[in-house]
Amino acid sequence: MYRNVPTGVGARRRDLRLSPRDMRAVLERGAAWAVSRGYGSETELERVEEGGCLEGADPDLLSTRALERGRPQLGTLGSGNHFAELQYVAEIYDEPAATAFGLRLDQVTCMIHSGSRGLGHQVCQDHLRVMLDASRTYGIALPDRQLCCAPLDSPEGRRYLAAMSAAANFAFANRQVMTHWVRESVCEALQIAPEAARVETLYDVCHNIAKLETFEIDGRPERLCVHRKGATRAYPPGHPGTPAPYRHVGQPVLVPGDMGRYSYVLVGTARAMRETFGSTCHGAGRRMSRRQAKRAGDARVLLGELRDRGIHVRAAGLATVAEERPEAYKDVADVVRVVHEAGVSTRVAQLRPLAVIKG
Amino acid sequence: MGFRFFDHTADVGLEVNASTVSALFEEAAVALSAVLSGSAPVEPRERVSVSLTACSVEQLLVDWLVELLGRFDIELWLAGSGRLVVEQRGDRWHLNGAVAGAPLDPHRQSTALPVKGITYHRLSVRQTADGWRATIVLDV
Amino acid sequence: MRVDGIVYGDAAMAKDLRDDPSLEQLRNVAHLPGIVGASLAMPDVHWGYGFPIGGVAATRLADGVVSPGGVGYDIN
Repeated sequence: MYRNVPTGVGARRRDLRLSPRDMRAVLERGAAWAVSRGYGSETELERVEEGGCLEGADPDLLSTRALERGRPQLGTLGSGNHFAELQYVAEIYDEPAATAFGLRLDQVTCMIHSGSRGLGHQVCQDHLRVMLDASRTYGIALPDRQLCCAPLDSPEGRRYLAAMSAAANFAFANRQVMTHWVRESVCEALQIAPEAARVETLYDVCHNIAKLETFEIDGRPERLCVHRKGATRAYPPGHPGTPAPYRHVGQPVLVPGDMGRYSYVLVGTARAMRETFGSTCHGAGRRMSRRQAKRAGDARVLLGELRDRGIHVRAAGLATVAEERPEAYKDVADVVRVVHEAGVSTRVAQLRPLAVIKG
Repeated sequence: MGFRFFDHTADVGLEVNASTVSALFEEAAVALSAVLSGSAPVEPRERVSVSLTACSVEQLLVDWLVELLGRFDIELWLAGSGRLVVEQRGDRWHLNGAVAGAPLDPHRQSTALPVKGITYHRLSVRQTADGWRATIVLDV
Repeated sequence: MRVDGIVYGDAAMAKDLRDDPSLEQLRNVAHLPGIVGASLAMPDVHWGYGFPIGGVAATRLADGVVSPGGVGYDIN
């Protein structure tokens, strides 16, 4: 996996080169572009939020710099808190939902945490600059400049949504390509045919996004722009946005923890629709700054401790390992307990790490 | 004069001090390279000319760091010493000059922090009793 | 503030959050034009820039705004 999925700053795979025309297709079509190039199958797309493609994406709104940054980075994990992790199902809390998701005890899973890479970073940066001016133009008083914004119904607002959607599609395609490489890695390691390995997508979900979605407000359906920053969509059973194979139980929610403890799979609820615009937590949440985490101990010692507990870590740099040490994060079990008890998503399964690759 | 880091839970805070506004921008480039490369020295092998314009000195600093961040993301290029002129003309701020640097060598230097963006959160560039000071929060 | 701020958490989290800047950020988000319901924070909320990380905010199409800071740099 570490060999097949480019990890860390500047890592690339030579066999994936995008022409400007490919780049356009990636930004317009998202995960479907990856499938059309043989990275996975059509049937996987229904198990991706919005089918792996946001409508209204306009590649022409991206700066040259955003495209330059993105082109060599498709199919790369990145660094920092991004990771790919092999895990096993350690506990099942909700049998019917677990069965619908295809999860059973001791089964091996893989979780990938990555996004739109430098392309998305540049889109955000370019549009923050535009929005600072727009906030003045539209007379919006801001307590913090980083909150700069524009009316949804304004050229600046529409352009941002179209550019952001293109970046989101890049992220969907990016993960679809890596998912395929993970699948190939498993088949290679076990020396089995891909059909026999049955490495299937459970779900792919966004966690830094603004999307137009419909909610009931005062008894009437209304289109809203939902900003989820480090938060995950959690649609209930029966919702058209919940993938067909899961519609009777609800949308799967993936909640990564830290590399030493566990991650969770939850399921969306009707309560989330009423209370949180169909949203729930995203992960553990940092407790220590990166500098504090680095000072907290030697990365080599940490790697040894994890290895003794059966968790193998391969990382492009030791610094990342130290910064991403388990204690740097809140206990994700506490986070999950709160959303479970509040009923804005409920526990389905706990996943424990076996091997982690980090940038 | 120089720079120091301050803690921010998810991000990295940077405070840069210099005697003139031009030197402040030169120092900010060195500080960003230190974040990206873990303070490894940068060889001044290639010179890159830059010319930027913005409506405020703060925006100009963001544009400058974003420019360097983009170069790092594309070719791992790190800025070292620079010779810059930063000045206000009318209601616009201008940056002109050149900065020398080199691509990071992944075999010799490790990357330290992947910086995602230059934020406007708590951003400030101001004149102090003995020069100029900038405060910047980087999203990492 | 146009709407309330609501944090999902337990007693221990409430204690940790008392002096945390993420609460101020939650309050700032509640100022956004067209915001509906409440400015929300999930239990994994932590200090971001502009929006808190772990924040959710919905705005009306007719008179609401969109903010790149409400999405962040790592889009999707």
